[in-house]
Amino acid sequence: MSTTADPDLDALVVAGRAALTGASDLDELRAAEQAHLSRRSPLGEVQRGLGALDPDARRELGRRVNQARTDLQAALESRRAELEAARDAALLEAERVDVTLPGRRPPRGGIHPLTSVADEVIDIFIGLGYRVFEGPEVETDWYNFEALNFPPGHPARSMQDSLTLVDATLPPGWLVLRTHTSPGQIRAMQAQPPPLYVVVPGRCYRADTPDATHVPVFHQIELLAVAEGLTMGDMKGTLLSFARSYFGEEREIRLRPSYFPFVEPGAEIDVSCFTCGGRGGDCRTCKGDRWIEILGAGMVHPKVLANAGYDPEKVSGFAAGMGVERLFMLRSGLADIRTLTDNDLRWLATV
Amino acid sequence: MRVPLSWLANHVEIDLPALTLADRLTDAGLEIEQVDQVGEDIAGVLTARVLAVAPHPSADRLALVRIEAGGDERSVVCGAHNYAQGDVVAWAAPGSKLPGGLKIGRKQVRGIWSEGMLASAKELAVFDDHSGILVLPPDTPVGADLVEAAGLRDAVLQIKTYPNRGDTMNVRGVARETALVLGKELVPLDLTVPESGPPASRLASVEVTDVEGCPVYIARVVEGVDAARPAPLWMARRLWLYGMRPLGAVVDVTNYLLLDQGQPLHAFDLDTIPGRRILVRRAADGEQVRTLDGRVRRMSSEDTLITAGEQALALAGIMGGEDTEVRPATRRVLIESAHFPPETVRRTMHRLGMSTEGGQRWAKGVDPAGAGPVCDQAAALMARLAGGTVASGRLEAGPGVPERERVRFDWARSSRRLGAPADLEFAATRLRDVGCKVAVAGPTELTAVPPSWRFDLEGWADLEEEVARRWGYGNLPATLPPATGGRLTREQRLRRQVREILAGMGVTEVITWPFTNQTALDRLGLPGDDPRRRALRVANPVSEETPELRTTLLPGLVELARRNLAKALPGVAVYELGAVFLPGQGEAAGRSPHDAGLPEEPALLGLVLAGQRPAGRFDEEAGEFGFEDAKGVVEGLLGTLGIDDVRFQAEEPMPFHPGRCAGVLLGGRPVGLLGQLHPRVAAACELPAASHAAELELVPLLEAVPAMRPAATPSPYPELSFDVAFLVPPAVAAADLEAVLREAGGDLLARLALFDAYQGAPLPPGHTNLAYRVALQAPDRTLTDDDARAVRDRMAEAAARQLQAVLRTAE
Repeated sequence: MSTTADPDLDALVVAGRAALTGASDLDELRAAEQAHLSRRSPLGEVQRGLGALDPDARRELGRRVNQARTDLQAALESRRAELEAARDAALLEAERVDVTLPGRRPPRGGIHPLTSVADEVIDIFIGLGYRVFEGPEVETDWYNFEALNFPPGHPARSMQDSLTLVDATLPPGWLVLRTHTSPGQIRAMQAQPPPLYVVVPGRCYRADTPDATHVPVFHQIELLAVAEGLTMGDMKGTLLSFARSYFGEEREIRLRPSYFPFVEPGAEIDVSCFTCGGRGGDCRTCKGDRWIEILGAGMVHPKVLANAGYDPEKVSGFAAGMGVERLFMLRSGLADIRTLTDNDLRWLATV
Repeated sequence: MRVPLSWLANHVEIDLPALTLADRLTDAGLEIEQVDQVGEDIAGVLTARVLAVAPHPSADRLALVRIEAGGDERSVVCGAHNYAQGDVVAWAAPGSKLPGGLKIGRKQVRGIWSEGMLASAKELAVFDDHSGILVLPPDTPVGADLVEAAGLRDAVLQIKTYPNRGDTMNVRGVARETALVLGKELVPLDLTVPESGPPASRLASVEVTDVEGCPVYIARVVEGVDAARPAPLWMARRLWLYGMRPLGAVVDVTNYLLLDQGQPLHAFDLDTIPGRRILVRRAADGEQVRTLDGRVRRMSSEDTLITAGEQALALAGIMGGEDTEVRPATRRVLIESAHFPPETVRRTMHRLGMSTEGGQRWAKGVDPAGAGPVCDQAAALMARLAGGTVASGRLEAGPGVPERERVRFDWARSSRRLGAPADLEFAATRLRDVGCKVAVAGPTELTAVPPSWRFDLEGWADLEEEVARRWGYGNLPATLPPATGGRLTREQRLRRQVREILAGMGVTEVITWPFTNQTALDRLGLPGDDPRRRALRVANPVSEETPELRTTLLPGLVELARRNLAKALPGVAVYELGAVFLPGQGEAAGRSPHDAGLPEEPALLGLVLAGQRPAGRFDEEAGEFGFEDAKGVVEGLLGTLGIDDVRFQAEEPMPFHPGRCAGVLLGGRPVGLLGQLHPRVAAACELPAASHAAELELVPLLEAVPAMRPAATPSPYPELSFDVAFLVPPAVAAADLEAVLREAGGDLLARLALFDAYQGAPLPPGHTNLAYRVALQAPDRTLTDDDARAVRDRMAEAAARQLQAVLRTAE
């Protein structure tokens, strides 16, 4: 090759830059780099010829060669960055997924809605200072009725038709499936001295024919508070607090006189309708009544306190009982209680 | 109790709409469950006078009736004959509407045009008589709208009667509450008796020897009645609206007064009573009575009978006898109006399994003061409506009912309990309002004698409720008691955790009814002597097919799985946490006589996995549940709870596949089984072959959860890992080898993880290749290959010596 003293470096730079910036992919860019920046490229040839020049000329040309190389190197880097970005973008685009397709889910299980409601109610009362007491599902006549002031043959017994168990060694009707969680009141009082603040959740049984609002197997939560000086106002405040926790902070409650043998005074508790806010009208939830019956309550009957071994002259208390199914149905709008006992897994997965 | 508003208005002035009254009564504690508007479904029916009756020319049984209803004469064909010229009847004119939506037109009957029809009481839903058409009282205006003329439009209050408020089971009792609520007076009763016959004592006699079962016996005699005569429309209508069938004036009068004032009455045909002598006495054991309903009742010496000396006539307060009941031919009636205490009537009804309108009222308590006045009213009303004359004087026997006892009432205590004003007069006024005789007994104390009709007022708490009720529960303050320390017990908390862990592993909680039968246990293949075959029986089961209480959760879960799979669900993964019932004198039964006979109720955890295991995603293949899924759920549960001391060992009991069942041991104690269901069981239960179950005792499981787990200090030195593989002979379980390797690994062993289990060629038959990754770590130094070699050698030696398992060396 010639060893011209003044090679046209500007032309080399123009051609090299054109080749580098014109490269349409990284392979072309590598080829252009080879052609214009390698030792064998025209620029490389010039550089290799520098040794043959006199010092002044070498210095001068060397400076210009370096400048040309720097220019081309910059063009190379800039183009490489562009092409790499484009390649990456294409790659990521190719990896795009439809994010609306379902993910890989761990198998889905669930807790029965009646358990969830019961736990929620229990937690409300734990917050109010109560503990949880549990009693057996099979009870004796004494716990289920007699200690609760339902004497044998008393008409109040017909309020709760019991399922009785056969045991030839015992009087007929002695063993019953508990008709309510109230025998838990007696057992809780027997288990510890006052002050006593407990809830008794559990499954109950009655000889009812199933319909939209009755099933023979259902769940209740009993509430019992006994201490010195407890008042009916304490009962009202406690139930108001519960109603607001469960049905919403704006709720009010109404107490109506009622009768349960184990309380006196007795009351039926209504909550202001949470659908219409107590306005009534054509509300489907309260049927225009403005109030919805949620539970029965009252001051523990002195005879019940005495039967459980407490002194009715010293302590007083209140009790309440609520149906878990009803609490669930009220808030969820479920119309037929039998849905809760069907154990249709497709339905359970929706609640 | 159903009370027509028009009837209530006979006893107290009502000056507000039915619905408003219902709200007021409900607030005061007399719950009105519903208000029915009646008479709204009749339209266009008129009152008409019968002008002439002629036979239908072509049908013997039909009559051709000319009527007039304030306009032109009309002609109607009628099938009934219980009317005559001049009677006022109900004419359903063409275009009118009857209850049930029936529209009346003009039609031909056997060739003759009938303009509408003459309607029966039943067709009009006035009451249930369909023996003839409705004949109205002669003074009924003609040509008027029937609903108006006969007063058929009414509002019926459906009242919930509490078992302790027998006094609200009659119209006057409801009126008494209404009067209190509205601040009005009760309308006084008309107690005049038109006596014109001979002295009653010449006609009959009464005597009581069972003064406990019958402290008061009052009777009157009415002679010359026409017992075939029906009750007037107004009375029949009221009985019907309550829900009773009109039976004829004589009996209807007794029923009417029962409903009106709550005093059960009985009408005897006097001439059928031997010797016309009533003796109220105890029954002899085994004595028999044939009651009105035709049944023979066997009595006991606890029962009170109305007799004629020898011959029993009626069960006191419950039901009359067949022989002495009033019949159409009856001419002389003895009206019984007695007092029977609640306890004796309850006892007899309970023992005989009977419940009657009268008996229910006695059982809840009837006002003893009503016996005399109601007897007088009955005699007067019967004479008026059924004809006849009232014999002079009452027949009376029995010592009477003792005065009610005074109840001491500490208003200081009760006012505090209610948050009511402490003023003594506050309570006294309210108690006087309801009829108590009140006296001041001290600065804060009253005594009150409850009124004779209030059987529910017994103790101070009852008086407290009465004052609170009259005051209004709305006035009670709302306060909170000073309760503290609310929390769950450890077991209760862990039970919730179990539920959450299982839900997190894809298992759904279910709650099944605990009723089952032996056939369900047959399907599970349980042998005849299996202890779970001994179950408690329900005497009156919800379903005759499932009379027993469960001793295992599996039948319920298996049935639930079957039902869900039958609904085309591909797979089922469910658990239940619940009690089973093991009969016998368990621990619970021994505590006190009050606990006698109680079964044990251990809580179990049941699990069923059947059919397809859910795929994680739509494009993944869904496999079937396998043994390892059931075991995995149990292992996952125990592991998450932190229970360490668990072993599984092969077991073979039903209902499980003999080669795919594991017993679960906690600290060496068996707590349950898991495995694939035996193919025969799966087939019998209509489940797929891939059906698996587990049943574990919950309490020992939760007790095994460590309260606190020691936390080791992590070693700063690196782990040293290597793999070992063993050729394991048949009958050696993986768990056995693992135990030996752990033992041999000693303190340096940080982790031991199985990564391969292989059977088949080229291994000898029955042999298994088990490969583990071993990780060693020391707390104080970096381990070397020499350490690894030493552990490997120890493992090889121990496995060979104890299990004849051979370490396979790397090729």
